[in-house]
Amino acid sequence: MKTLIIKGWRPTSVLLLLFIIWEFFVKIFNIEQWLLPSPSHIFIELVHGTDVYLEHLWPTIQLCIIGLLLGCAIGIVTGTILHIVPFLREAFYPLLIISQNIPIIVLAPLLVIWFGFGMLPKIIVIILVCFFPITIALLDGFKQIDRDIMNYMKMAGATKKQIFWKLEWPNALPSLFSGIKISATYSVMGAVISEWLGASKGIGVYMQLSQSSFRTDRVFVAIIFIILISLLLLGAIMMFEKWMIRWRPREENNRE
Amino acid sequence: MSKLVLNHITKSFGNQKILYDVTFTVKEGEFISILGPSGSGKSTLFNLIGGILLPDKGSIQFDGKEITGKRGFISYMPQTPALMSWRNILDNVLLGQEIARKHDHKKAYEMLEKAGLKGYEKHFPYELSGGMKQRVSFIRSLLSPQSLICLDEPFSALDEFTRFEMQKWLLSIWQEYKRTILFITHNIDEALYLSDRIIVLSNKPATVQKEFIVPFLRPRKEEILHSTDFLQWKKQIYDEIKKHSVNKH
Repeated sequence: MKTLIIKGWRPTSVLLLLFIIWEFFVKIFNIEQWLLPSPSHIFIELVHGTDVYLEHLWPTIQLCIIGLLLGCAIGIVTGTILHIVPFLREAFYPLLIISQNIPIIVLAPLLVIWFGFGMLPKIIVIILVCFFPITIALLDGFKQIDRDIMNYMKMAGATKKQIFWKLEWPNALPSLFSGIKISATYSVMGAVISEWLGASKGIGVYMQLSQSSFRTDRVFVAIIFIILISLLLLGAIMMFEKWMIRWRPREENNRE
Repeated sequence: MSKLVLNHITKSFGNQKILYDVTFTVKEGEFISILGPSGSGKSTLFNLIGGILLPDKGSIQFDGKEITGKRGFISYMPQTPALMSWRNILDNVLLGQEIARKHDHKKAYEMLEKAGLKGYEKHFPYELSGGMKQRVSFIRSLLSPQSLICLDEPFSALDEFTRFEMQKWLLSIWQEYKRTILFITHNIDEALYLSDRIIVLSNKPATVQKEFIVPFLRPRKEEILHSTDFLQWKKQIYDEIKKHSVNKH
């Protein structure tokens, strides 16, 4: 908690300053509400508009969590298989990178055509944006191995299985977690995009409805919740990481 | 009895000949140093003995059995401590036993205590100093079930003071546990102080240039480092190495 205050006061004050400037800017130049609402106006909507947006939160959160979990699982399995079977890695690695150049916003409508308007196409969208950073991070982690430890294990007669579980897997964990953290933020974005394409509830739907009725304040409320969900996911992952990886020096000791 | 025999080992990488006709034997319980300039193929020699590489020509025997290209017969201690950062000290030293599926926690505790690491069993490697990590690495090799330990310039990354402390410590531990040791180094003092026999390798391609039998009695005191005898031996070995490099250039 103390470190949160020590580390957090600078960005918080910058943010506050930005809000103050924004507030005065809107007031002085008399900018229309639908064009740019003031921070105070957004805050009022955030407090009083609960019965409008509350029902939209849970579906998105649910989508994010399910998508991220499946994305993680698929990413880890893909990364491991590509690592263990060099032939598959050579065959699929370039394709994997090319596949990431297809914009998800182009792919999503196709998925709706193929799989309808239910959960499935949305979850596929999230999986598609999530698994890639995880697979790449994991493959990277597998590769970055101290040659001396590897030689020690080999000379001692370790089997491939032993080398994988005792050396390669734990060695790749920190790298894997960086991948998962990137994916977590992507997953919220993926969820919102997939909801734009057709859903009855969700932050993406709320955002679109607000936008088409020129309720710009509500669009900002949606943005606030997207940020909050991302931060919550990130926080949960970092806690899990801390619990899994206990062998690293604590960050506080490294501060200048 | 010969523990390890290298028969006419030759190894090249591409056009570059690294080892040429290397032949020597190591007896049970012996401490042998392989002396040669850095980059002369000493590490390649260990990779061959450890079965990671195959020689182009020649064979390697261990306890009378052919082990060319086979793994699991030696315990290796690399230049860096090469500890697993995610394991605590106790689990790190038990790694060799784990690979061979034999467990002896009692001995591990006992050896860690002798190395001055009592109380550090549950610590992680990042909490230890360079010399301590190197001791952990050596204990890991000692606790491995293999009877031949190959050390690859283990002290070259340490500062002068720590290195000397480590050499003394290594000698005392070796005298107690009597393992066969093959020790790679480029430091003449170190080789003379520690070993029974010194094999001098020439440079590019590496081949056995000369063998010296070190006459100093054991247990060795640190005073011998300053005796005239020791200095004379050092000069003799130095001249041998120099002679060869002068011929070449």
